[in-house]
Amino acid sequence: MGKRLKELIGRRSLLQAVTATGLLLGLGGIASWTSRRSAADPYLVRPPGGQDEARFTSLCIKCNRCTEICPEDVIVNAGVRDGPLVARTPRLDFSLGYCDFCMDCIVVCPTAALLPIRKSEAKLGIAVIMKDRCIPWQWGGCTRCYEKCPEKAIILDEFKRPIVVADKCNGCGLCKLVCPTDQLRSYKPGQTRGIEIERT
Amino acid sequence: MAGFLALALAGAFWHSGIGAFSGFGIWSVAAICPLGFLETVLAARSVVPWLLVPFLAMVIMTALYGRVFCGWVCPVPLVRSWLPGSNASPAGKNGNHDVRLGNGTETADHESRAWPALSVLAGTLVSASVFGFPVFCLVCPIGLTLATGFAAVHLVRTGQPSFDLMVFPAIVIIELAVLKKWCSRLCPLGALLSLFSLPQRGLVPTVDRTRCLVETKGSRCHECRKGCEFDIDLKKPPFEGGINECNKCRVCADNCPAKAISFPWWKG
Repeated sequence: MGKRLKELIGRRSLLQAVTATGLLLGLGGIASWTSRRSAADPYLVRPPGGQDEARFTSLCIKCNRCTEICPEDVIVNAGVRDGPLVARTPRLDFSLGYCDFCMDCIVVCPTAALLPIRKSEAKLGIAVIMKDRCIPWQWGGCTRCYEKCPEKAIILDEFKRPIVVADKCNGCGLCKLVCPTDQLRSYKPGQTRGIEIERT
Repeated sequence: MAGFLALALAGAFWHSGIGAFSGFGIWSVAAICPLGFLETVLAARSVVPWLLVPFLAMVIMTALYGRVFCGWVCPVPLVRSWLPGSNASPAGKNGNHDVRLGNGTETADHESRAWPALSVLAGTLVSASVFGFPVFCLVCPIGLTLATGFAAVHLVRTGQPSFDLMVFPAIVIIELAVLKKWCSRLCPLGALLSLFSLPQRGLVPTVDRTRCLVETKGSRCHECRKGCEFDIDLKKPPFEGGINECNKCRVCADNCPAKAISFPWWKG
């Protein structure tokens, strides 16, 4: 028996198996080591149903279907700059669109990496005012996000400056989409707008 | 192949949600990459029950018709044919191919030839379970080829350029240019499909022994094997020449000077 097994799995093939496994383990190690910062990126917001990051990365097979189906074009594929582990997985880019919770992405997800959820329980992230860029916090006048927020999660303080009500915000990102800082303050370098969606 | 690739890219452009080959489909009906499925099962340590349906469908299709995916859907052979020196695979083999008539040692050769790909398959599954995410997907040339196309679609649609458009094709080109025998020797998906295709009955290349020159004229013609990427010897008794690896590319049938090779839909 031992001899037959030895014939079947020769020394060379065993060596190959160990080498291949070792190389792939090395690749996995490098990928997760280099990605530990980007995986913790607070602005890496996933499509609805993908909020458990560990579960999501273990199931996503990078098939691009949610990105394609999204009618609002808010889902984009993360790039290599987001780290090898995150690259090619879907993230929400609220400068291109916002999430209307149509849940088409959940329907097309072939591995259930995006878990079916109800709109009422969906919380993609939370809007955070960037006070150094927000126009009313710097000077005053703008109330775009307050007007557009479908959840009425943004209120104005006594100086008509926007404040986010954390409990009401579901992270749909419409506030960021309509925020005019990138046009009105385009002289100030950076891509950050006056309001950003942070992962919860 | 080009057709499937074009379909996937057009789908990416027009909101179809068709997706890459790892989860090709329409709405909630989708095929699934069987290797990707196994990776996610090991990575998440749980099975999503309804995913067994597309997975088993892939297994059954492969068990009946063999590695049809490899020869007719997978974009890797197509991409490789665009790379310089790609003609080397069949032609270069002619030079150093030892034309032997079956003498028993080749079967043993063939078994050992399957080992590297099986090793990569084992490594793929182990690494997915150790790190909790599908590690091989990071370098899968199929996924990266599609990802290159999707990055191009994104550039056209939004005008946002990205490094992806250089990095993804670079990885594919390095893999396929350095590892010329990717499909036959290293691809873990191919290795997995080869295992599933052991009982295949459809589209099995069959030699008509009344026309084969070796049988009828005693010639040393080995044109079928020379062109075969997988070095399959069709004249061996059935299923001993590694025929489960056949990807139905039909090069052997085209090469055969006596037109003795056919791919019947069903072999009893």
